Amino acid sequence: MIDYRRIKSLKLSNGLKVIDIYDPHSTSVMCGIYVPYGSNMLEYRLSDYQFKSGIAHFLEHRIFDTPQGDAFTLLSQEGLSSNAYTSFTETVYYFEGPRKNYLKGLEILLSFISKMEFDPSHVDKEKGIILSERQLDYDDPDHRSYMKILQNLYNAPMFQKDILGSKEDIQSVTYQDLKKTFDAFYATENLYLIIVGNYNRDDVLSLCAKYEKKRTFKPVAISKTNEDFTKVKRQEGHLKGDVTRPLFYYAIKLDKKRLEKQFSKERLFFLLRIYLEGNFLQCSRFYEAMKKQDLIDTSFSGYIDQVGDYLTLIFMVESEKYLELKTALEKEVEHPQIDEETFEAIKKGLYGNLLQLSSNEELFNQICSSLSLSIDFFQLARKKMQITYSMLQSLIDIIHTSPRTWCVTRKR
Amino acid sequence: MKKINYYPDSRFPLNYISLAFAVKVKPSEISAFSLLAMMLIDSTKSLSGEREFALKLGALYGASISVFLRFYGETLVFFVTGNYLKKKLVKENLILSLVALIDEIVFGEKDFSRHFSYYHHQLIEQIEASDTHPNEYALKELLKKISPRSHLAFTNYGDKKSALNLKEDDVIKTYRKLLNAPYKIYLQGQYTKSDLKAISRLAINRKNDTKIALSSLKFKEQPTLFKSRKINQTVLLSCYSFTPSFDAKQRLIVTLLNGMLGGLPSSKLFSIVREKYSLCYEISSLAIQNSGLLFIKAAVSKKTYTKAQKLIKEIVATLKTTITENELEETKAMVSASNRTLEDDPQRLFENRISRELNHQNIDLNIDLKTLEEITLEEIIDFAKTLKYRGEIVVKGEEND
Repeated sequence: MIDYRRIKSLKLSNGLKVIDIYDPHSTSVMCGIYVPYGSNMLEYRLSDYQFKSGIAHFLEHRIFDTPQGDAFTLLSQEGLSSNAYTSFTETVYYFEGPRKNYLKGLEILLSFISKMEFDPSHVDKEKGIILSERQLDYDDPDHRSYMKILQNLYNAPMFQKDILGSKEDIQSVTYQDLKKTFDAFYATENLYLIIVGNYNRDDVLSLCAKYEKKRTFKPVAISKTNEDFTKVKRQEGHLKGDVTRPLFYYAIKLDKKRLEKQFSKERLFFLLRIYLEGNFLQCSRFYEAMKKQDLIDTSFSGYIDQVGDYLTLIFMVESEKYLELKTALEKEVEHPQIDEETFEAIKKGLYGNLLQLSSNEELFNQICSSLSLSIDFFQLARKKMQITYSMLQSLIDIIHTSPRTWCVTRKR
Repeated sequence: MKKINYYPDSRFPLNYISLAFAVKVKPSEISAFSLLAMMLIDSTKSLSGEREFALKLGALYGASISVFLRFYGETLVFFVTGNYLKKKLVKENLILSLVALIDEIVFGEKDFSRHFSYYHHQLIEQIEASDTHPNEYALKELLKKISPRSHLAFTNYGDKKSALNLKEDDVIKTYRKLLNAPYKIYLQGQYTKSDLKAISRLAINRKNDTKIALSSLKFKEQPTLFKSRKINQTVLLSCYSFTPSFDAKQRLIVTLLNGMLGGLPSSKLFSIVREKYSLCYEISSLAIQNSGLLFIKAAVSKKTYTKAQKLIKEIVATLKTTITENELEETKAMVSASNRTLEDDPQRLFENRISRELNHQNIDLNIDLKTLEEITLEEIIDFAKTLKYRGEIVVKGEEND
């Protein structure tokens, strides 16, 4: 069993940061490079250059193309399966496979991350693939609702365009655009290497130490958009899509900095989980009541969305009676009903969830989340969840005055 | 004590338990079993509802119990599966509470009238939602034409007509059929003798022979269907058939061919249709072993779908002459590696063990790996020659984003 207390981290002299969890019982390794930039590259600029929307994702697609061949193929020839993803705030490249070949995989990974060497004529070819991916996203009513909600709530540039970018920006991308992006954001000192499983730490560190220290341009953050956490941009949104019933999203905008000042980051995350589950989801009286009134069904869910400095509670459901549900949700936010017994049961459950993490993939993803949200999830497990009912009550007092928005997608 | 399939494994923090009932069902009965799966927990008399159930599980340090269906060929397997933290991680021994809960849910007194209309409504909505999803819609429409009796034409929820006609009595009858069905118990983790004794209360004295029946599909036409939807992408789905088998070597041959065709990122479909011609973002193949069906699915643009269609057909037709030793060795390495990483994921490992046991496969993955090494290119080519084209569907997107 992986002991999360064995997480280690080290910064090498070349600037690369290594985070690892060793498990001698594992037969495999999962390894990746975490770049702490995603579509939020829009919030930076160079002195004479503005980054295009979708550029982080475009680069993620192209970077696998090397003079030695496609890195996906090179990795699979070693029996290692690989993938990558881009979010608002990070780009992650990873592979996993049997322990006998992980060093070779690590060498390939470090090699294609260290330099951009693809054939410039391949850039145009990629546009068709990315435009196709973009169309798939556009067909997904959940994805469109989510983006609409963020646009209703926030001024931040990264939310105003899709992670994949606008059609115009994708079609106009050049090799130079990708090179500038790579040089600006893929400096060694920005990167994290994450490795989980059964590996030899000395071998890994020795290979990473050989990684060349790269540093060219430093992008400058565009002055931060002023965000008013007492109001939203738009209180509602309406979309059309391929749905059988109206798809309804409801969101609460939270003042992250204020909340983190009052509670620690780790405590806040778990208090919000308890708030959601105890007031709105299966553990709550609200859920039972909504079910009885036929306002929700099994499609109803809620989650915490945290992207950089932005913290949102989001609910979604497919329901004809979404306006009645909206009224009920607002009433519940004003007067939540979670009792202390429910609080203790959910808290115990969350503690259990932390102890359950064991597969390489779960731990790798947890580390990525920790980096992205700057939260040490394991700290609370070490402290056996020092969260109290009175802390929850203080949180509730803040949330009930937070501004909200909603969005509905109806059938075309 | 009746036989329990116990896979000792001390590596993980969770212990797993699963009851698997094997039932032969007609396609018209699928919706009744689907409704029963939705209702089973909430209709348990000793629980006052979902809230009480959720709180009980929370108090057991986030233990979980879920009810779901899977098809293996023509046999429906109804699962009630749970997991919980092992004793050394928390002060309490959770096994007794969890077993008692599972016992109540599966064998305890039921009140199906409590939420019948709510869940009945849910089922109809699930069926309608699955009709909306372009991939599921394409699959159902295609199979309705080429093999209408196949359960796959109805997905896991069943057909709308049968679902609409369901009454409370049907759920009661279905529940009785379930209780009379043979079932097996599966365990993974670290269990003591007293744990196993506690679990044995779930194993009643009845034959536990859960036979899985392979599909014997009859095919009607070889249609090329055209439908349209208000979406951006155009979905292509084509279907090929092969003779299903429980033979381990044969199943590995299918896995390898599927990997080389479209099951892996280095596959022919991916590297040619997507990477070489940039015709799509999403393209893959999927082999359903127990049904003897292989599907190729792609999401393409409405302007270039005819080019993609032609290319896909060409790739499959020339498979027997274009697959190489190199590709085979690479695919073997990937399949072998995938088995290895499976061993480190307790949830996937447990599901894999159960699936292998139900399908009469050896539980020991090392035996599979040995057989894998022995498979030759000629055997893959011989299998590729047996693939029969059965039809395809084009779901044309009408929208522009």
